[in-house]
Amino acid sequence: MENFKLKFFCFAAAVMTVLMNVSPVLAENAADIAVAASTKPWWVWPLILLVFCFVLGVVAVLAGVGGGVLYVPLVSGFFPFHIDFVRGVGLMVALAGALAAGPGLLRRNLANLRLALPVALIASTFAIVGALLGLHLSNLNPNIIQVLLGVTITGIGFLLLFSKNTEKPVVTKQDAISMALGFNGCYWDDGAKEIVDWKTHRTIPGLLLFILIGMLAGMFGLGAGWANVPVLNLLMGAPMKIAVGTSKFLLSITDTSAAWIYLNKGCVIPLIAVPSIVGLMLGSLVGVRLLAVAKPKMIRIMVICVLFFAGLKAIDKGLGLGLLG
Amino acid sequence: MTKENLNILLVDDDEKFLFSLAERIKLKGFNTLTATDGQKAVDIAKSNKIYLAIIDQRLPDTEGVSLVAQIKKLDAAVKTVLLTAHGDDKIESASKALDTAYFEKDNMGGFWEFLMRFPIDTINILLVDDDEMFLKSMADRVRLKGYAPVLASTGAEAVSAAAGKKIHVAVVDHRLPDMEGLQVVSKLKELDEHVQTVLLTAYGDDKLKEATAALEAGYFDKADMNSFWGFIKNAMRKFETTMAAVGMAHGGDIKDAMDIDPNKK
Amino acid sequence: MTTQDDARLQTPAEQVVYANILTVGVWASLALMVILYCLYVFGVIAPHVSFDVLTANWGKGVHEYLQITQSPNGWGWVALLNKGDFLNYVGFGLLALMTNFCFIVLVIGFAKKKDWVYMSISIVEIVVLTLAASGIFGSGGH
Repeated sequence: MENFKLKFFCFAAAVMTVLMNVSPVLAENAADIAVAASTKPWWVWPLILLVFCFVLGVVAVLAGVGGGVLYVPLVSGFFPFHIDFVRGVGLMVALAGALAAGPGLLRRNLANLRLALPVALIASTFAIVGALLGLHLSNLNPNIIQVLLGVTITGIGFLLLFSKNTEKPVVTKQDAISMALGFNGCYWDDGAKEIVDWKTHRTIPGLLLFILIGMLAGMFGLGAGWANVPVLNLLMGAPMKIAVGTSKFLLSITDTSAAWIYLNKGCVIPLIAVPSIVGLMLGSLVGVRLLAVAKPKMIRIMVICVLFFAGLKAIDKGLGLGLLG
Repeated sequence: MTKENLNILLVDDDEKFLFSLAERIKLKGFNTLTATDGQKAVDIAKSNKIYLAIIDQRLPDTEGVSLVAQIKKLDAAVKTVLLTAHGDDKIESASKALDTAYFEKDNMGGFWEFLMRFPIDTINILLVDDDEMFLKSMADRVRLKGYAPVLASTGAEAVSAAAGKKIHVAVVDHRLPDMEGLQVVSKLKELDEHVQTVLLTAYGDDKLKEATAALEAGYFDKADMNSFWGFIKNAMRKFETTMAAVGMAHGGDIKDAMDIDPNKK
Repeated sequence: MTTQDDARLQTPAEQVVYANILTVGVWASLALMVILYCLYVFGVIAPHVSFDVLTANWGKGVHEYLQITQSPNGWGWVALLNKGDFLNYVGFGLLALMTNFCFIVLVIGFAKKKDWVYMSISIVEIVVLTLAASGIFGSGGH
C-alpha cells in the first residue's frame, strides 16, 4: 500500500510537470489567445476540436468519468473560447450523451423512471437558477466563475478519488416519502443467482443535495454524474447498477433545462458545438470497444490527476496568481 | 371499436366447457362464436373477423397447434390462446388468459400499443427449459441485450406462449419433461415458419455457454440485414446498446458496461 | 414461481415507451445537426456571423460578443433561420425539446394508470422545461 501511494504521487507529479511545459496556450492571457486564434484559418478549430473531443470521449469511457466533467475544464484551458461558450457547448455535449444513453438504460430497467422523476424535477428547476446565476457572475467578472469552477473541479477530483460506491447498500427501513413514491424495485444478480430487491431511504437529505447538484450543473455546464451517483448510491441506498443508470438518465432532464438557458442567451456557438458533440460521441463508441483491453484503473488515476491540475490551474488563472505558469 | 363488435372464437369438443366459457366471455361484453372441431372453426374464421381465438389443444379432427396456424394464415392479426390444461385447470387457465394483458393493453387504446412497438418492435426470445435457474440466468442475459424473454418450462407451455405472442427466436433444451426439444421446435415452426430456433444439447454450465453464444451470434440480427429497413433497425439497436454501455461507464460502472456490450470478436 | 419472478423483473411499460420515442428523437436530432452543420461549414448557406468575426470574438464574454456580432438572444434566432449558423439552432432546439415531448406522453400514460402523483410530477416538469425554453428568465440582462 505504501509503495502504491509513493508510485501514485510520483506519477501525478510527472503528469503535471509535462502538462505545464507542453501547453503554451494555458500560459497566455486573453489578448495573446486572440492573436493566436486569428493567425489560424477558422476551419482548423472545428477539426482540432473534433479530434480532441474524440480522444476525450475514449478516455471518459475508459476512466469511468463523465464526458461533461472533462470537457469544460479542458476545453476552457486549451482553447481560446470564452468560458461562457465553453459552458454552453459543454451542456449540449452532456445533454446529447445522456439522451443517447437514455433509451438503452430505460429499456434494460437500469434507469428507474420512478426514482428519476421527482429527483429530476428538483435538479432541473435549480439548474435554471444555477445557469442564470452563473451567467450573471461571469458577466460581472469571469474570474469569479473561473475560481468557483476550479474549486468544484478539484472537489470532483477528490470525490472521484475517494468515494467507493457500494454494489448493494443495506437499507433497513424505507422512509415515508420513498415508500409513497415507490422508490423500489428488483433486478437479477446473475453472480449470486438471485433476485435482488432494493429500496431507498434518506429521501429528504437526498432531495436537498439534488438542489445543490442542479445548481452546480447549471452554473458550470458540467454533467452531474459525479454527484448523482454517490447521492443515489451512498446516501439514498440505491444499488450501484440502478444508481449509475438512473443518474445518466436523469442528467438528460436536468441538462435540458440548463441548456435552454444557455441556448437562449446565445452561448451555444454552432461551429464549436457540433464537432464537440459528434467527436465525443464517436470517441465513446470506440472507448466501449477498448474496455476489455485497457487498464481502467490506471487511466482513471491519470484522468483524476488531470482534473486536479485543471482545477488548480483554473483557480490560479481566476485569482491571477500566475503560479502555474 | 366497441367490445360488442369484437368476436371471440371458442374451439373445444367439450360442449359443457364451451358453454361455460362462452357465458363468462359474454359477461365481459364480447361477442362469442363457438365450434366443436377444427373444420367448423376454420369455416367460422373465414366468414367472420375474429379478434381472439381460444383453442383447445386436443380436437377430434386436428391438433390445436395446427388450427392456430391455419387461423393465423387466414388473418395474421388474430390473437390466439392455446389451452393445454385439463378439466378444472382448463377453465381456470382460459379465464386467466382473458384477464391478462391483451385486454388491459387494448383499454389503453391503439396509440399506446403503437408506441410500445415503435420504431423497432421488441424482439421476443422464448426460453424453454425445465431448469429454473437456467431460465432465470438466460432471461437476464436476454434483457441485458435489450430483448424480451418469454419463459416456459415444458413443451406445452412453450407452444402455448408462442400461440399468443410473436416469437422471434426460440432457445429450446433438447430434453423436456413432456416431450423432446425437437418436437417443440417443429411445433413452433408450424405456428410461425420465420421463427429462428436453437436446440441446446449441452448440460449444466456448458448449456449456459451454448445458449449465450447463440444469443451473441445474433443471427437474427443479420437475417434482417437484407432489407434496408432491417439494416436501419439493426444499426439503431446497436447504437442504443453501445450508448447505454457508455452511460454506465461514465458513471463508473465498467463491469455493467461490459456486460451490456461485451464486444467479443 | 418463474412467471411471477419474471413479471417483477419486466420493464415497466412507461419506460419502454419513453425509450422508443427518445430513440427516434435522438437519431433525428443528430442526423439533422450533422446535415445543417455541413450546410454551414461548406458555405452552402451564408452565416450571419462570418467565420473571421467569430474567431476574433469568441474569446469575449457572451454579452460583448452578441453586441459586436449583432446577434439576437432569446428566440430571436428564429428570425435568422435563413443564415447558415443560426440554422443549426434547429438541431439544438430539437435535442432540447426531446424531453418535453417524452414527458407529454408520460402524462398520458400515468393518467391512464390513474397514477395522479406521477402525472402531476410530469406536468410540473413540463412546465419547468417550457419556462426554461421560453426565455422569460431574462434575455441578455445588462
